[in-house]
Amino acid sequence: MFDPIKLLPKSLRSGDWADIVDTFYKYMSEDFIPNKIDIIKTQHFFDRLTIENCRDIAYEFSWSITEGDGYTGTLGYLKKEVATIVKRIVAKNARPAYLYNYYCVLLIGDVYPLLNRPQGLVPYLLWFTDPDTTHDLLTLDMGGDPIADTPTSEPDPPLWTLDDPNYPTTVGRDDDYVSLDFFDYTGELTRHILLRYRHRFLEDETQFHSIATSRAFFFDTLQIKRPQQTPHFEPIIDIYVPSDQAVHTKTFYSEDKSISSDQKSIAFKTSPSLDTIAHIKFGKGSHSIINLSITDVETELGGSLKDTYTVEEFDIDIQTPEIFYSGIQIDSTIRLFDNISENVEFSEIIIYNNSMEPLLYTTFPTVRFFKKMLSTVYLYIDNP
Amino acid sequence: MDFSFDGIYNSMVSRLKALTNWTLEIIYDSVYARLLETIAWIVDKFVYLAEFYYKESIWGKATQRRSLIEKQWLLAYRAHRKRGASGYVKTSYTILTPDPLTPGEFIDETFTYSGPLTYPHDTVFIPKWSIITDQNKTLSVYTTEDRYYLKNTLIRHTTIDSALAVNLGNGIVGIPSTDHQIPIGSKIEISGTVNYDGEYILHSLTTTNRLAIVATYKLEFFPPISNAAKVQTGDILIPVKEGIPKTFKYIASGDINESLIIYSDSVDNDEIEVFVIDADDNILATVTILYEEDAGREPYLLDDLENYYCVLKTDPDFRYIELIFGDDSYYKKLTAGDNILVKYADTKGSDGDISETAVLTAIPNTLYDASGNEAEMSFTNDVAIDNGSDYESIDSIRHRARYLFGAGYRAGASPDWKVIIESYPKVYKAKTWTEYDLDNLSISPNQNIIYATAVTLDALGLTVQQETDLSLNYLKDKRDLTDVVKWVTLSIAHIKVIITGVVQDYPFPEIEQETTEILLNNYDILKRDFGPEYDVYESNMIDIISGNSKIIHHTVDIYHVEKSTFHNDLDSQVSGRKIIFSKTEEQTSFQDQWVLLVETSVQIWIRIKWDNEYLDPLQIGEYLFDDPNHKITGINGYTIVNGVIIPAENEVSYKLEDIFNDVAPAGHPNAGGTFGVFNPTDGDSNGYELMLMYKTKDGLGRYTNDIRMGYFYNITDIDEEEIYYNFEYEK
Repeated sequence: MFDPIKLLPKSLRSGDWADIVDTFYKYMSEDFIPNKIDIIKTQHFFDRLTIENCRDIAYEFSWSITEGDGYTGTLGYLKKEVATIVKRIVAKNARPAYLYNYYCVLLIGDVYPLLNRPQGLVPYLLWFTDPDTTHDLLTLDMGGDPIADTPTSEPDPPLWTLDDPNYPTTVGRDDDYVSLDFFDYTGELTRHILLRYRHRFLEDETQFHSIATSRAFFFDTLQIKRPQQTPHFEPIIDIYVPSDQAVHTKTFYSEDKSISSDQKSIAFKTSPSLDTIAHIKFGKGSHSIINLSITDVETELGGSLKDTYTVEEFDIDIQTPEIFYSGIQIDSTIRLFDNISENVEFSEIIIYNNSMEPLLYTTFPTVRFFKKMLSTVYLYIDNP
Repeated sequence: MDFSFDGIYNSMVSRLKALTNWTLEIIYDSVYARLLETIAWIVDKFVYLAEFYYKESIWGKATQRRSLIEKQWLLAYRAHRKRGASGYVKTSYTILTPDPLTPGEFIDETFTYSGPLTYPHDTVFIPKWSIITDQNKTLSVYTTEDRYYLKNTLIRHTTIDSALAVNLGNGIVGIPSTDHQIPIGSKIEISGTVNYDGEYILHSLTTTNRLAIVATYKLEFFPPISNAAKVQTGDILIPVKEGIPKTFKYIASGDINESLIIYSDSVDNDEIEVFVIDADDNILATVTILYEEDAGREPYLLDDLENYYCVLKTDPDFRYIELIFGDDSYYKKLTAGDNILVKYADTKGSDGDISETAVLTAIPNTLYDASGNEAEMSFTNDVAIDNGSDYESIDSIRHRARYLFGAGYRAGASPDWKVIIESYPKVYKAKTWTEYDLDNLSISPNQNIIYATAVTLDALGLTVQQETDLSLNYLKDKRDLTDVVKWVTLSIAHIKVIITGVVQDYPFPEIEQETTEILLNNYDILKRDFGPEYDVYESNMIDIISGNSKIIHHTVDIYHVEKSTFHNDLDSQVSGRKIIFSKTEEQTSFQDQWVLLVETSVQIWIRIKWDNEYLDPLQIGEYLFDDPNHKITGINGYTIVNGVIIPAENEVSYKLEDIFNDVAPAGHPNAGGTFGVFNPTDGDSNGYELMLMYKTKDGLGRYTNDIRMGYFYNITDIDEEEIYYNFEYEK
C-alpha cells in the first residue's frame, strides 16, 4: 500500500501538513477513484450496470428504450432491455427478436404470420415447423394496402379445397404457389403478424401490465418488425372452472415472488350446452364476492370502447365438447379493441348464452393494451 | 496538457506564480514546494489509473482479457475455455496368433490381421468418458461418445491394387482391390491414399475385385503394393479428447438459483455433463446446460418447470466454472437433497497434443461384453491427437466477437441468405434471387419469395430432405415471418466436348487422361460459379487444352447436355419443353443476350444401367435435316414420334416410343424386355437415364460453339464421360 506521507520531509510527516496530504490521498483513493474513475472501466460490466449505463448503451446501439412509471422505470427492466439489444438487432424481423421482447416485459409467447381466410385472419400456427419447400408453399399476399382492415370477404381468386375438381392432382417442385395445409384450406400469407402471449408475472398487486409497460412492449415491437407488417397483440387468458359451480382460484406472482394476485373463476351451470355461448363481455372491475348471483361485469369498460361481442366475432374451437368446459379455445378473429386513441384495460370477463344468462365469470389482474395496439384476445377454458 | 508528474507540478506552480502573495521562495524553497511535489505525484498516479481504466473500457484498446470477457455479453459472444486435443483411437478384437519365432508364445497382430474373421463373442460396450493411455500412463485421452463393438463384426485387412480409381458416375467411385472379400454395406476405412482416406459404407456397385464408395471422383493412381494403400473393416474408430475425466458430486439445499462452483482452471470447454442421480448413482434426470451468451438458448426464454436446466458461467479469469440452477419461475429449481453429478474433464489445452501415433494402446479399466465376460480389445491411435487450444486469447475475442456481430445471423440482405445457406455442411455454393433480380417489377405475390438453389459438395443439387433441413434448421430462425423460401432445381447444363487434334508421340490414353484432368480442373461445377460471367467459350477452352504440350493442335466441338438425373421432366414424353438457359425476345430486347436453340444440333441420348453396370451413352435421336417440319427422328434402333422443334420458343417435343411402351429394342441388353427404372438410384440394378444435347446461338446467330448462360442462377458442369477424343499422330 502506498503511503504518500513518506514523500514529505521528516519535519512534515506529522501534524497538520501530514493530515492534509493524508486526507487528500484518502479522498482521492476512497471517494474519487471508486466513484469517478472505476466506473470508466466497469461501465459495461453487466452485473454493475446502472440505469445511466443502460441508457448509454442503448444510445450507442441506437436502440430506443421506452421508459415509464412502474416496472419500466426500474433497473431490472432496463438491464433486460440492454441484455437483449444486440440479440434483437441481429434477429430483427425474425422470431427470436419477438421472444426477447416478451422477456423484457414479463411475457412469454410466440409469433405467427396471419393467413387471410374467409372467417378472417387466422394464425399459421405451424409456420415454424413446416418447411418452406415448393410442395407446401402458401399462397401469398395478393398485394394491396398492408394495413387494411381485416379482410372478411371471400378471397379472389377463390380458395381451393381438397374436393375441388380444379385442384391439380400433383404439385411439382416448380409449380406455382398452390397448396393445401393440414386443415384442408389454402390461405394467403399476409403482411399481418400475430403476437400471442401469456402474462408470465405480475407487475404489481393489481395488474399484469401497467399502461407504461404495455406502451414499452408496443414500441419494442415496432423496433423489430418490418415497416410493412401489421402486428396484432393477443394475450391468452386461461380460465379454469370446475363443474360443481365452485370458485377456482389461480395465483399469479411477481417475478421475484414478493407480490401475488388471484384470478377467480366460476361456471354458472353444471352442464351447460356449449352451443349456447352467444356473447362475451369484458369489464374493468372485479366482483369482490364471486358467486352465482353475478349477472354482469362489475365495471363496464366505458368510453367509446365496445365491450360486448357476439359469438360470430370469435372462432370457437371446442376440442372435447363432451367434457365440461374442457379445452375450449375462443379466438377472436376480428380486432376487439382497435380504437387507437384510447388505452384499454380489462380485468373481468363474463360469457352469456342466447338468453343472456351468464355461463362463466372470471376476474384477474388487469390486462392492458396501449392505445395504438391492434388487439385481440384468446380465451382458453378448461377444467382445473 | 501534460499529465506527467512534471506537467502536473509545473501546472500548479504556474498557477501559484500568478498569485501575488506566492513568491518564488515560497514556491521553490519552502515546505510548500515538497507539498506540491507530493500532490503532483499522487495526481500523476491517479491519472495513470484513469487512463488505464479508460483503455480497458474500450473494446478495441483493452489490454486485459478479463476486460473483454466482462463485456462480451454486449456482442452476444462467449469466449472459450481450454479445449482438449482431439482425434480418434482405433479399437478391434485382439487376435492372438502363435509367434513363429518363439514357439509357445503368442503375438498380437491386431490391426493388421488379414482375416476375414468374424468376431465371435458378445457385443462390447465402450462408454463415453473411458480413459485410454499409453503403456506408461503418461498420456491420457478419453472417449467422447459411446461405442459398441458388435458381435459378428467382420475383421479384414487388405490392400488396394496398384491401378487407377474409377469414376462409376453419380458420385460413386470404384477402388480396385482384388478379392477383398468385404460384403456390400460394410463400414470400411481406406488409408494411405491421396484423395480417398476415410470411412465409407460399401456401395452396391461393389464387385469381387472392386470396392465402390460414395465420394467425389478425383483422378488417382494407387501406388504399388510396397507402398500399399489399405482398406480395412472391423476396426472401429472412437472419437477421443486429451484430458482426465473427473466427477463432482453435490447435494442440493433447494435454494432458488442454487449454484455450485468447480474450482479448476482446466475444465474442457465442450465436454461437460450434469445429471440428477439417486443414492446409487443411477441417473434420474439429465440437466441441460445453457449459456446466457448463446442467442436463442438463453435460460430466460424458458418456461419449463418440469425439466432441469443450469446456466454455465466461466470466471472471467478462467479460475473456475459455476453452474447455476433454476428458480421455479423460468425453469425448475433443485429440491433439497437432490444429488447432482457433474462429469467433466481437465485438459492441458494446447500442451496436450499427442503427435506420436500408435501410443494410445492401454485401457486402465476392464471392458466387458454383454455376457459379462472380460473383453479382449486392443486400442491404438493411427492419427495424432491434436488441435488442443488454451483459453481464448484477447486478440481472438476482440476480433471474433466483432466479426460475428458484424456478419449477423439474420437473413436480411441478399448476401445474408447466401452465407446462411452456404453454412449448411452439405452445400458447396448457393445462389439466391428475387423477382426484383429478375427485373420483374410488377406487383405480384411472388415478391415475398426468396428463390434459392445450391450445389452440394457432391456436385449435385439439394435433395428435398436437405432443402427441408435448411428451411427448418438454418433459415426459419433468421428470416422475416412473411418471407417465403422457394427452392429451385439446380439450373445446370453439362458440357459435352469433342476434341479433335494432332498429338505428339505419346500413348493416346496418357494424353487423354492428362487432358481430362485439365478440363475437370477448369470446368467442374465445383470450380465454376453461377451466371453468365462463367460462360464457356470455345476460344478459352482451346487455350486451356493447349496447356497439355503433348497436343500439337486441336479443335473442340461443344454441346449443352441436359441430363434427366438433374431435370426429371426429360422423360420418355416431352411436350413443348424449353431449354433451361433459354432467353428470348420475351425476356430481353437485346439480341446479343438471347440464348436460342440451334435446331439442327438437337440430339437425344440414352445411358443404360444394366446388372449394376453403366454402358457407354448411346445417341438415339437426331435432327432430321430433310424434313421441313423440324422433326427429331430415332436412330440406332430407337423410334421417336412427334419430334418437333420450335426454334423461336426454344422448345422441343418428342415421344420416345420404345421407352414409353417399355419394350427395349434390339441392341439393348434386355432386348424385347423392359427398360428398368427411369433415373436408377444406387439400389436399382437396371434402368436408364436420358440426355438432351444441343448447341445455342445469340440473336445474331453467333456463339454456336460456346455455352452461354441466360441467367445468373444458371451453372455448368463437366463429367468425364462427356469428354470425347479424336486424336491422331503427326504425320
